[in-house]
Parts: sequence; C-alpha cells; structure tokens
Amino acid sequence: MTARLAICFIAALAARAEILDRIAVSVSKQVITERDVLRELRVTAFLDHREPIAGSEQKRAAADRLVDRMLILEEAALTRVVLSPEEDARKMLEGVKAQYGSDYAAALVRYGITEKDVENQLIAGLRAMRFSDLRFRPEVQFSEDELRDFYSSLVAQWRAAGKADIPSFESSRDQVEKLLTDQRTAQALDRWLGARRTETEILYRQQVFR
Amino acid sequence: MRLPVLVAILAGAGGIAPAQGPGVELQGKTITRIVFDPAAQPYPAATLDKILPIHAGDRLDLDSLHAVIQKLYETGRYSNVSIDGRAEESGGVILTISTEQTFFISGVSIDGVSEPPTRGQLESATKLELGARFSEGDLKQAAANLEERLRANGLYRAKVSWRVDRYPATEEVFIHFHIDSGARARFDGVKLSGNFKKPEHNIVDDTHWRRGIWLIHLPGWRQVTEGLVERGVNRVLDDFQKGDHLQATVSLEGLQYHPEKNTVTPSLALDSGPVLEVRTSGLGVPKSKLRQLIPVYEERTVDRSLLLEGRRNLIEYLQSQGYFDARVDFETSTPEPGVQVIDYAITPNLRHKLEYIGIHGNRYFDSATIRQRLSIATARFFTPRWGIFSQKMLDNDLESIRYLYRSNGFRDVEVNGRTADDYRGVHGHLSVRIDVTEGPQWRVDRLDLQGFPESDVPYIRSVLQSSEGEPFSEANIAADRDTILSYYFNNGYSSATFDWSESPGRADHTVNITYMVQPGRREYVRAILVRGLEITKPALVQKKLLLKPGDPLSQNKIAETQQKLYDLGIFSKVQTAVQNPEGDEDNRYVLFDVDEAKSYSFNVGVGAQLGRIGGGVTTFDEPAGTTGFSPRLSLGVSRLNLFGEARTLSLQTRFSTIEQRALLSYSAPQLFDNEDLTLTVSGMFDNSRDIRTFAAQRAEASIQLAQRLTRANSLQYRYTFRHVVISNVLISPELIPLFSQPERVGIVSMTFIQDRRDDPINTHRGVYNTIDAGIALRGLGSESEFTRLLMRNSTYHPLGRGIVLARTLQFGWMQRLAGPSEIPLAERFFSGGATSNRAFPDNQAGPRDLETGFPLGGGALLMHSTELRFPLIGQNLGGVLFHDMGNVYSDLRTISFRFSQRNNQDFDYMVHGIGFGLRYRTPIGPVRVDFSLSPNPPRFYGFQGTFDQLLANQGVLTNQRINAFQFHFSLGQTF
Repeated sequence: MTARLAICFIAALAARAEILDRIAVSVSKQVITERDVLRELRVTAFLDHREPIAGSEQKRAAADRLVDRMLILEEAALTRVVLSPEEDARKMLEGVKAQYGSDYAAALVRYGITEKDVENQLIAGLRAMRFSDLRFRPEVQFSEDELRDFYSSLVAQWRAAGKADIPSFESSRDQVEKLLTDQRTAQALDRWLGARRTETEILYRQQVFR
Repeated sequence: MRLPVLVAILAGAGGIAPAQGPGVELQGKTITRIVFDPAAQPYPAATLDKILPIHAGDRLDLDSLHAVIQKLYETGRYSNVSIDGRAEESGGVILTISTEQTFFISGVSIDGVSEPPTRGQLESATKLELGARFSEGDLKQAAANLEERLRANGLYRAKVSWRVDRYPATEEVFIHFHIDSGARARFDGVKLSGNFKKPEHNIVDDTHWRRGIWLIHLPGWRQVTEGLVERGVNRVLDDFQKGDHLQATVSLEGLQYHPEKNTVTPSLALDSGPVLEVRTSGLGVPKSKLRQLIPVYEERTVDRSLLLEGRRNLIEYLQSQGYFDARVDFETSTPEPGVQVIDYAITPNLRHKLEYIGIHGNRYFDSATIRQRLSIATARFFTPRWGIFSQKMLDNDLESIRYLYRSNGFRDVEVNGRTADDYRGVHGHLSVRIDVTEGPQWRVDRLDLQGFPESDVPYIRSVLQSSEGEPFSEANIAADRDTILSYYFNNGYSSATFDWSESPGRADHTVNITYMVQPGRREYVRAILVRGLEITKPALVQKKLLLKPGDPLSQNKIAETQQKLYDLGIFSKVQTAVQNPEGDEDNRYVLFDVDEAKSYSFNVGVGAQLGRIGGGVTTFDEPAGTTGFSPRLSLGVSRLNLFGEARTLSLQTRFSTIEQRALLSYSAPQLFDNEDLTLTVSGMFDNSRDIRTFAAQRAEASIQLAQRLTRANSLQYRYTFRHVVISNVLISPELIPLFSQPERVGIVSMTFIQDRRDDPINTHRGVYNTIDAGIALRGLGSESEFTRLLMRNSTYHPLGRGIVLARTLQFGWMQRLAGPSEIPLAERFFSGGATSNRAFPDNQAGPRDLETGFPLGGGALLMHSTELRFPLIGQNLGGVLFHDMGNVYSDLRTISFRFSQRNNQDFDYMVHGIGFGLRYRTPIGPVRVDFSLSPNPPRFYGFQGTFDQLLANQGVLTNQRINAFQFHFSLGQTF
C-alpha cells in the first residue's frame, strides 16, 4: 500500500509545474530571486569547501548578504567610484582552482554552479569590499589610549587562547593599528548598512524562507 | 518506506541545497508558450511582450528568469512574481508567470469626525499619498496615525474603522475611514513641576484651560484640543518671557488620561531661568525695537554668536537712523544671582544725512536704470529724514549692480562704492559715489546643441536667450536651462537632464557654448482617472481635462487641468498625481481626486455705514444729510453645483435702516461649454432710502450674458426690467406727478470692461476702463424712453517706494427720447460721496429741489479724482492725499468747469474737494477713512415747515449749504 502511494505521488510530482524562480527579496525596485539566494549559498559553500545547506536560516543569511551587497554596490554606482577588481578576482579564482586541484571541474558540477558564478561572486564581493574601504576607512580615527586599550583586549584574547609568544605593544603596533582600523571600518560599514536598510524598502517573501 | 520520510526526501527538507537547482531538467528546452496567471494583467499582451526579455520559441535559460522577474517587478505594477515551468510531451516547456498585482491609492475619505482635528489634518495624518502603492501595512499605520491625532484632540474614545474599495481594472484602491468620535475629554487640572516662583494658580490661568471668558472664570474645564494645549503651553512661556525670563522653558511632559471620567491632566515642566536684562547705554533704543533687533529674545538663549548678531543689527538700525559712524560694543554681567545683564554700549558719533548718490563710469546702462536697483536713498519727501543708508545696504546694492552687468555679458565688471562726509561743506551731510568699470562685453560666438532630438532643435533655438551674437552670461544660461528642461518635462520626458560647457570663441571676448541634453524615456498618458465625484456630472469634468490617453505626460497640462477644475468653483480640493510614480513604465494613469464643496453655503454679515446719511427721511430737516449711523445685516444662502453642472442658485438679502434688499440669482458659468460665457438671471426686490429725496421700492428682473474677450477685456449684455414705486417724495409738490408715479423701465444695455490692474483690491499700476451704454424703449416694456451712457477711465502710476498716483474720470449722460417729459427720478444720475466726489455726502451732488433743497439727480455727470497713495507706518497703514472735482449736472449742455456757484439755484458748476485719508490694509481690501474739505460747496434753499405747510405754500425758505467738511468711512479704495 505504502509503495503504491509513493509511486502515485512521484507520478503526480513529475506532471506538476515546478517553480523555476520567484522573488525572494525586493530591495526598492530591485529583486533578489530564490535562484540568486541558492546560487549564493552554493558558491559560498564551494569557496568554503563545505556542504551547501539550504535551510531557512541559511537562506535568510544568504539573502541578507545579497541585500547588503546590493546596497553597497548601488551606493558605489551613485558615487561613480572606479572599482576594477576583475584582475584580482581572476587571481583569487586561480587560487581556488589550485585548492581544488584536479577535482575543480567535478566540484563545480557537484555544487551545481559554473566558474562564471564563482567569478561573478568574487568580483561583486571585492567591489563591495573596496568601496567600503574607500568610503569608510579614511574616516576611522582613534587615540593612542584607544589603540592601547585595543591591544590590551587582544592580549587578553591571546592569553585566553593559550598563546605563549605574545608580542609587545611597540613591536606589534602596525598590526594592531591595522586590526583596529579594520574593526572600526567594519563597524562604520555596519552602521551605514543599518541606516540604509531603514531608509530602503526591503521586503522578504516569507514563503521562500520557510 | 514510510510516506512522510519519502516526501521529506523528495522535497529536499533535509536542508542540503539541491545540487542542480529547480528545473534543471527544463534548461535549454524550447519555450512553447508563456502564460500569465491570472490571465487579466495590468498591461495588454502586446505591452507584456515588449516588457519581457524572453518569448515563445526561445530556448529556456534558467539564469535569464531573474531578468524576467526584474523587468516585471520594476514596472511597479506587481507585488510578487514567480515563474513555473512544465514540460510538455512534445519536448517543449510552458512557462507560467504567476503575478500578484499592486494596488495604488486613488483617494482617501474621512467622515464622522467631530472637528477639531479637521478633515484635512486627518487626511494628511494618514500619510496615504495619492497615486502611491497601497499596502495593508500602510493602512494599519494610517489608522494608528488617525487615532493618535484624535487623542491629541481629546477624542480618546474615538473608534476608527475603514473600508477599501478596489478597482482591479485600474489597480486603484479608494480608502474610506469612518470615525466614531465619542465624547471629547476635558481638562481636569494641571500638574506643575520644576523651578519657578510664580504662583501656581497664575500659571494655570495663563493656560486658559479653565472655562471662562477673558478674566471671568467659570466653573469647570474646557474640552481638550491640540490647539488649546499648544496655545496654553505657549502662553505660559510667553508670560515668563514678558517678565524677562528669556531663557525660560515650558514643556508638556504628558497628558494623563482618566478613562473613567474622560478627563485629561496635562503635566508641565517649568524652569523660569534667570532674569535676562538687555540694556543700551550711550543712546536710548526703544525696548520694542530692542526685541526686534537682539536675537536672544527670539532664540531664547544667550551665546556669543547671537550677541554679535544683535550688535550687527543695532549698528544697522543706527545707520538707518542717520548714525552712519555708530559703534556698538557689548558685555555681559551677573550683578546678582539669577539676573544676567547684557549691556550694549553705543557710541553714536555724528548723525548724518544722505544728501547725494552719484553714479559714474556707466555707459551701457543709464543712471536711472541703475538707481532703480538701489535700496539706499537720499533724504527726500516720503523717505526718512536722514535718508536710507547702511554699509550693508550699500554692499547689497553694489552686488545688485554687478549682477545686472554680469547678466548682460560684462563678466569683468567692477563696481565700487565710496562714502564721503561733509558733502558740499555741510557738516554731517553724506555723499555716496558709485564707480562702475564696465570692462568688455562678452558675447556668444557659437551655440551647439547636443543630444536634442533633431525635430526639437528649431523650436529650442527660437526660445533660448543665449544665441550667437547675444551677450554671454550665466544668468542667461540658467534661464535657458529652465526653458529647456521645462519644455522636455512638459512633453513627457520627466527624467530629462541638462548640462552645459563653454570654450573660448574665435574673437576676443567671445565664448562658444554647448548645451547638452539627455531627454531620457518619454512617458505618455494611459488614461485619466477622476475620483471623488458624487453629485457632479462626470461629463462636466471630462470637458475640463486637457490631457487624453496617448498624449505626452505634461506636468503643465496636469496643473492647468487642476486649475480649470478649481475654476468651476464646485470643488473644495483637487488633488492630482501620477499613479505608480516609482514604477518604470511608459504609459501612466493620471489621477484627479476631487472633494466636492458643500452643496449649501450660508453667509451672515453685520456691518454699518457711518457718514452724512442720517436725519429724518420723512421730514424736511437736513436735506444735505447729517452725520448718521446705519447698522446693516446681510443674510445669504447659496445652492452650489446645482444639477451637478456647476450652476449656482443664490438668495442674498440685506437689511439696514436705509435699505432692504432681496436678490435671487441663478448663475450658469461656462455656458455651452464656453469658458468665456457666463449667464446670470436674477430677480430683486429693493426698498431703499439711500437718496435723501425719496424712498423707492424697486422690483427688478434681469438677464445678463457676460463674455470674456481676452484676459483683460470683457463684455456684458443685459436686459433689465424694473418697476419702481417712489414714495415719501420730499420735493416740490408740483413735481410729484412727474417724479413719483410708478415707473416701468425696460432697458437693454451693454458694458465693456477693460481691467489691466495689477491688483483689483489694492492697485499699484494699470488701467481700468468701463463703458456702459443702454437704451430704454417702449418695445422693451418701458414707459419712458431714454438712453444712458456711463464711462469711466482710471489709471494707476507707481512712483516708487510704494507711492502710487491714481486718477479716475467718470462721465455720464442720459437723453430722454419719448414718454413723460422727465426721466424717472430713480433712473437719473445720483452721485457724490465715498466713491466719487468726497466733497459731498452720499448721493448729494447735482441739481436740488428749489423749495426743499433735496437732491433731484441729473442727466449728466462729470467727476475726476486724483489720489496720491503712500505708505505711512509699516506695511499695513497707508495715507492718501486727494483732490476730487465734478458734479452731477442737469443735462449735457450744462456741464461746466466753473469754480464758483452763481446763486442758490445754480448747481451746474464744478465742486472741488481736497483732503487726506488713511488706509489700513486687510485681506478683503483696505479699511479707509477720508476727510474732505471743499472750497466751494453748494448753497441752496431749504424748507422749514411741515409737509402740509409746504402744500399750503406756507413755511419758511432757509439758506442752507453742504458742509465744507465731510468725512467718509468705508471699505476698499475709492477707485
């Protein structure tokens, strides 16, 4: 009985229409479709060498990343900043190929993506990163005290992690400065994205994320 | 295998992303059909075919589906889109595009509200914009906003419900909100907190939240309204500030509502702050002026920048008072706790008088042209006695002259000003010399147009200010930019952009200009949607629409249509919008949402006439009138938009001690769909005693067709039939048969009106001419036959600085043709008074009865008035010097310019009146009072005795005269 039911069900599924694509999120007048979200999931999983999981949380997180990227790239287009990450993206792609070695082509098929998908995602990611660097890094300022406080917090983390060879503040000053600048740049970007998300009409279609 | 497990695996619920994505088996197959679900779509199939980047016959590329969805979504007409694919046995694939339509707001109505808040305030609170996308979320927010607004006005028990009418064919929603207002809450006290020394009951009194009238307190509290709360808080604050607590703060901390009693207790937090005293030393400045000049009063805080601004304002004020070298310093001190003093120390130095302004070096513009741009002025009649000058004003004037030159191609112009004291050796007299170094005039060598559609170029070139050989200036380019963009915006290119560049021309001081335009996509009208019509016939509105489907979308035409709808006079509000403004689409719905005005309007007016109108109207006393007061009550009711066709039926009545009148009129504007024709049919009953000689009962019917020829010129064609019964005639009994018989008059007349005044209520420049000609004939129902001509010519000449020279000439002539030997009394010219010759009381000019002295009216009229109108104090109070001359004459042949009256029986001479008047500006025209003195008022015989004595030829003739001094109090300019 159960087997018969299963066969009927499979037959019914084969005859029915299949949703090929639909809106997952709309950002003002732009759309992010379900296929975009799934592609983002797969390419990210491919780059991270892990299984692509398409649970609702993962889909929502992927959609959030796409929304952020869209907001940043829209702003970059408005400000007419010249960003040319294509060369760097190709180099990164070569690195990815090298990581996969001879399994590269098979891995692409396994993940259901193309090389162009990977390259496009790398280009978009680099473009967004460059713009946020150009836009927010110059604004970052901190005092000597703040730098020392940050170093102290790093030392505490290193100690908690059991690191034995902890460098002095003076010897690691440049790296500490860079780390703090990166952190502040990321915080400025987060604040900006938060504001943009409030100003922009962003609608998630819940049926995609169930 | 158990069924649920099988289903879960097939559906991919395990969370692993399907490696190939949905529909991979359909990739590359031929699309045999594209169908929409639902079949009824916002666009016709042809338009959809144009929008979609894929078509039947194409091979399916799953990656291209994003573009399909994007294209549909960005039209703004869809809130959701998904694409299904189904394989066919033939090997092809059918794509089904499932859509959810967007709806757009085409109107909001609110009823049931107990004002305040007004319906307009509530509509605005909903934040539901006409033409914008509708969502259920917005609706809930709108209802919440309404409730907030209602609560702010004490309507805590209000309930808001709504209904949404959807029109799927045009994707519209009309939202009706119904408000059950409930009882309005009342104040029940005030909670005060903070730092203040005033007694609490005084503060509560300041709020005016208790019931009462002025200082009379009644038991209980007022109802809560937003305005009352706001005004109450401001009054408390104002009261602190009047006591020099300039930095006082009063804030409303909250309104605590008590539902069981439906009352509200406001909580106010107060801080009276220190006493702030602003003083001047060295020269006294009135406190009221200090409040205007020192910004700490307005800003209610003290900081250095405000004190510096106050110093600058003081210097400027002192300069305007002739202290052109004045110095001002300031210091602040705290002489005692809680008291702060700001002391402005003034060193006025010598008081000056601006005597001379010289302009030198100007060749292109004459000095008169440049002087028109100056705000500084020498001391002259009607200007302040010290002249008008400050360094800042001079700097502004110099900049204004520079701008004038630069606008005309003088890019390198230099304009400098120099002041010199002791002009012509007189101590304190100041002169200003303005030196202009014009430099070369730059001209346009070549003008290139880039990006303009070829068909537009001839027109565009014809309207540009910057053309080859013309002076080059950025002002011209800015004007051209506006002209070009306006042209494209009004031809459907709403996203047109303009840019320009310049390069050196071939010759010296020439420039090549390039104008670059990107018209962008052209938008057209898809349809016009008119909403909100309840009783108005749609056909009436349709005739006013200047756009039709297929026209380029023109913002000008939308605005003109809106104006035409307002001009119908039947709509209280006409809103307009383009539906789906954010959507990318070529053809757009244009919305007009109208609010019909109330069907009935009522008006009540109370007024009075004050002047030489009094005296007994049934006695022989005071034939020239005496100072009197006539109260007046007006009542009116109008039925607007009769039959839904913008017709008006109106009954206006007026009751006063000298006149009772009822006028019923029917007005049909825009007759036969012609905007220039208006038909008026009216019937009137009038019982008036405004002429001292007699009382008249007049029943009148008229039909008039008014035709507007041009913006300034119009014609009126009129037929009037009236029946006049004269009573209480106070003139020689021998004349009674002639004058007091009931009289029927049927007259056709035509009036030409030419109105080129800048402002009909308060004219500064222009011309106003009227010619009224009529003929009364037996064939028209008239008992007496006569012709009547009345002409007026008024001109207004600005003399600068708000001074206007105005003059008017009025000429009238009546000619008897047949019938009784005299033209009926009520038809004759009566004149004199507030709106003609002010040497006379109202209607007292012209021939008079030789026994009783009462005016008889005349057969001709000639009046001339000249007025010099000038500002007196501020913007609202003005003065007038006037000279009136003229009279009403027996007939045309007796018109005379003679100054002196020959004897008591001679009235055919020119009476003069000179005088002074005051005008106070109000929104409905100036309130005026005029005082006139006449050097040659008429003398005449009056009669002392009763009516019986007059009939018995008894009584005494007395010498009387019109008082040389007259005053008039009324509304509106004389002419």
